[in-house]
Amino acid sequence: MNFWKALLAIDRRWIFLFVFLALAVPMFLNVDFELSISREVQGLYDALDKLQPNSKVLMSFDYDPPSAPELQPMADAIMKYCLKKRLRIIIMGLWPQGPIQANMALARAFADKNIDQSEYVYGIHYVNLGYQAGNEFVIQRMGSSFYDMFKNDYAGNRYEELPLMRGIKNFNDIDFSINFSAGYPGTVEWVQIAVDRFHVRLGAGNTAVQAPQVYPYYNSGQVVGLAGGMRGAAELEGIFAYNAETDVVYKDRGTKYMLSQTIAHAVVMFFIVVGNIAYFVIGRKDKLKTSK
Amino acid sequence: MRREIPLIITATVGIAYIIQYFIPHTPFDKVEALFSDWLSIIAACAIWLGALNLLKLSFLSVSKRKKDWFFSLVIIISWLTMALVGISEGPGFQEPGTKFDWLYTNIYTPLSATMFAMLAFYVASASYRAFRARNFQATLLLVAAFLVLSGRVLFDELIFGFLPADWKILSTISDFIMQVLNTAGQRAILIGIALGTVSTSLRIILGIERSYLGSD
Amino acid sequence: MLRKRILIILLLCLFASANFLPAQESPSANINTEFLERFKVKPPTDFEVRDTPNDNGSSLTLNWRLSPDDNLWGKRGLVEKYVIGRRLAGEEKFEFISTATNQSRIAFDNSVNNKDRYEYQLAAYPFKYIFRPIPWNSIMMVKQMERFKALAPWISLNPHGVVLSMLSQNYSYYVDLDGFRSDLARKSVWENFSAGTELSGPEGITAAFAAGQVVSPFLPFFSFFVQSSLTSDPYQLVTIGRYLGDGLMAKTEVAGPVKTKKSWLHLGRINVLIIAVVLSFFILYFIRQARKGKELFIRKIAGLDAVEDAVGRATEMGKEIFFIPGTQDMQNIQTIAGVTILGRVARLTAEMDTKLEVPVSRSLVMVTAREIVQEAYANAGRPEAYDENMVHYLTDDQFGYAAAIDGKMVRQRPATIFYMGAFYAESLILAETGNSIDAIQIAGTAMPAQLPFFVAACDYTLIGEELFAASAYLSKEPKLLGSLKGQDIGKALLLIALAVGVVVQTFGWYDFASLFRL
Repeated sequence: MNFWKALLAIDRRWIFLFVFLALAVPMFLNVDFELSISREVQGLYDALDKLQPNSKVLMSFDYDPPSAPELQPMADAIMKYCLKKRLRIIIMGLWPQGPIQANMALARAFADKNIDQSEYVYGIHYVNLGYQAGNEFVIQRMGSSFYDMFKNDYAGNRYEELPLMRGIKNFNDIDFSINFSAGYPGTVEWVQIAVDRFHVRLGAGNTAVQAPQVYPYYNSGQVVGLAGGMRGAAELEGIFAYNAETDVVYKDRGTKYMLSQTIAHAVVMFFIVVGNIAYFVIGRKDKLKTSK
Repeated sequence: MRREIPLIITATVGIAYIIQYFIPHTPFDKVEALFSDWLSIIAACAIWLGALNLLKLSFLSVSKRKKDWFFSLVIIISWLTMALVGISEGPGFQEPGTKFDWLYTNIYTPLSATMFAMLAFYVASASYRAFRARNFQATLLLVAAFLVLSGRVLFDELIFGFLPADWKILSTISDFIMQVLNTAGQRAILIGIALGTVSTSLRIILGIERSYLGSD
Repeated sequence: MLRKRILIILLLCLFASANFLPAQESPSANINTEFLERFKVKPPTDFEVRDTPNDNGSSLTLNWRLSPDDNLWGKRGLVEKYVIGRRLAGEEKFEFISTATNQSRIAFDNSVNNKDRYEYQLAAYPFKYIFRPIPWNSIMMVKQMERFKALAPWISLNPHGVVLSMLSQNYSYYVDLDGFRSDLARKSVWENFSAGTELSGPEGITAAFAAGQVVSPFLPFFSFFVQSSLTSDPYQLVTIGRYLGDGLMAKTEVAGPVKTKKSWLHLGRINVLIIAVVLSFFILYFIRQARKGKELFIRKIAGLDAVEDAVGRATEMGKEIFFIPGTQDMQNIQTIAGVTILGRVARLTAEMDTKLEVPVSRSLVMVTAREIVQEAYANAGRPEAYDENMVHYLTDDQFGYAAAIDGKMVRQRPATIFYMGAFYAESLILAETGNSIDAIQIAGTAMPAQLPFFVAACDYTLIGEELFAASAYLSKEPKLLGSLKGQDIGKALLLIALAVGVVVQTFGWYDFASLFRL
């Protein structure tokens, strides 16, 4: 009886310890697996696959380091794919740390030995416009003019000095947009303004907490594809790896972390079951005592 | 007039915002952009109020050796370090390779990620405490939680991998719970929130609700 | 002498005749025309331009039906994009203004004014090529050179030659088209980006077509080779693609002239106006009823009933109260609702002489909250108990704020914690830490994603609209309670609309949903 009571009142640090082991140990294992691809991630891949080389892709990095474990693997995979496919990349951010995360994604893509950084020239093949304050008003203003919002890029170069931006006035000149979002401002604002008012084609990568809010937009067709949470990141890596016609390594952290997440979920479910068993045992014994 | 002027400003701006939503004709089309610029300017200036207040309180705490003054010292050192390093680097202070970027990548990023990672542990302890089958509704919640927990990871691939690829049982149920049941519940809450927002906004614009000004 | 003259005349005749001999017909010239004819795209149809409705006269809408060649062959058709040209009425030349991707049927021109009349022309712009990067092991190749793999997608053709649009600065290049060689000196990348590097003369493309003809007459492929000057290794096959014709645009008839109009009323938002008017009417009506003294029933909200008890608990234990008004700024309605509740809580703490601490995440919230707390203490008759440092700023950063408050909670161990406002991921971190120090926690937020965390970790949770009702509930002021009633009538009307809509849409009687569409 004391055992069950002690279990119900267990110090939360024991739970933390088991969760830590569940998360940490699988990171040292090398287990490969094939994930089934959801239709939302398939939609995102299909939209990217349809793009021709030299198509202009706008990427909005609307997250910060705390959300990076979920969103950075998606950003890395998409960045590698876009670079390899010779798509022209325009980076921006509605969160201050977003453009910095974008630079990290670029660095990781260029670190792949199958992507030669010398072939990509900043200002011609990719541009980082940096962060702009104003939340959804930035998106609204970009509908008429990108230049109004980004007179200079991240490094201080003038907009008109960037060859890639010379032909881009507003969303009409963009072939596809991707938004990596962890909250506000994020995918919801992009849908409400860029998609609904300016008819932008939008794909999204969201944290697991935000993804349920974005599913209705995917179901209505306002978002053409969606990768949600760690699973979405792993599926995205998997679909790129499966369809790639090059040797670029797509399966990376997203796939690796899925095993940790799986075992952590199992540990949480185990504790819930144990807690309920303890609850019922104590409840029954209390009832027996009362009836006596 | 101390009360009347803020009320007049609130009413004017609120009504202007409502009008510009329905009347696209000039000059109403410029109202939203104009006010958002003003808000950005005010918020950018106001940040100094908070930052200087934080420094002031921290200095006071350190100088008077109040309880836990050491943490105030950490605040002062961190604040000054980031500010001075950023200012010394000039306009390109956020570019890769700068000292500011080093501090950002090697100190701020791991700290932020650590705080967010704590959620994993807190979710586990909160779930252990909260998911008890006390009654029918709690049992329903428990079952739904189990199904969603198992559908969002690799249980389909690891446990039911022998089934054909299209037979993703746990994922399908989890997706149904999230996209249908959960969305329906969220939409119901959102409808209530929207009505509450309209009601509160109307009260504030018309000056019926004045507690945000400090008066009843 | 005569023999010399005859010889000269013969030589002259020979020379003259050589110039009049018919030129050897290049077999490739016919291929050129044939290819162009086969892959000429058809223009889009039904192109029309009209004023964009419900705007300030700065936009025109262009609609068209897709070119029949758009998406003709599976995933990729023959049309790369649509090009839009515009001119003022009366002018001759069209200026290029923007493009629309293939599969688009609509575009907007937002760079017009409402004084001029405009004419438009649309053109379907065909692909010059389609790249299909071929895995290296499936290509018949002479010899492989690593550094040329990356060149593949950057090479395109037009009738005048080969355009190399991307070159590394480190190499110079030779293009060998089935025996035809052209030495290209090292070029800077900037030049190549803007102008392309072209082989002169039609021989380049002719040779390429001759090579292409070998593969298949129906789906012609071309191939060519690039060699680096740095090594003497022989050729490298760099790309195989399908030539579909030159950038000859297939144009529509001219549409227009059209002039924009400024709208005084956004007709697309009439439904919102009606709903807003109806809702406002009910809210104001019931406020009036309440002012007249009519008794209005409001159901019990456990979280709000517990506020006074929670403050009392802190007073008895001699510990302080934390009030956390969310992590968003004053323009967020939840923050306004939160600081409104702060006023009520501050009045209670003033009356009960309990220590109150309000750490905030935004400067404007700090300023507002100070005013509110100061006023509350003055109204409670305890102005001297107010200290402006009760309300202090921590940081705008989400997790920095959470970390700071967690630290304060663990060190100061407040007896009661209120979370009232907009929260994001930090909600569970705060609530669990509060739970670990056995504080009584009352939360209220209108963020649906955070509600489950608060419900799991807090003693009481105000869900969504209960947060907005808190001010009315706690003050019991008739005009505020009346607004709650009006809000509930609005909810009842929405429920009726939902029920009607579900039935009507299920049976397909009427597009009921369109009444609510923006």
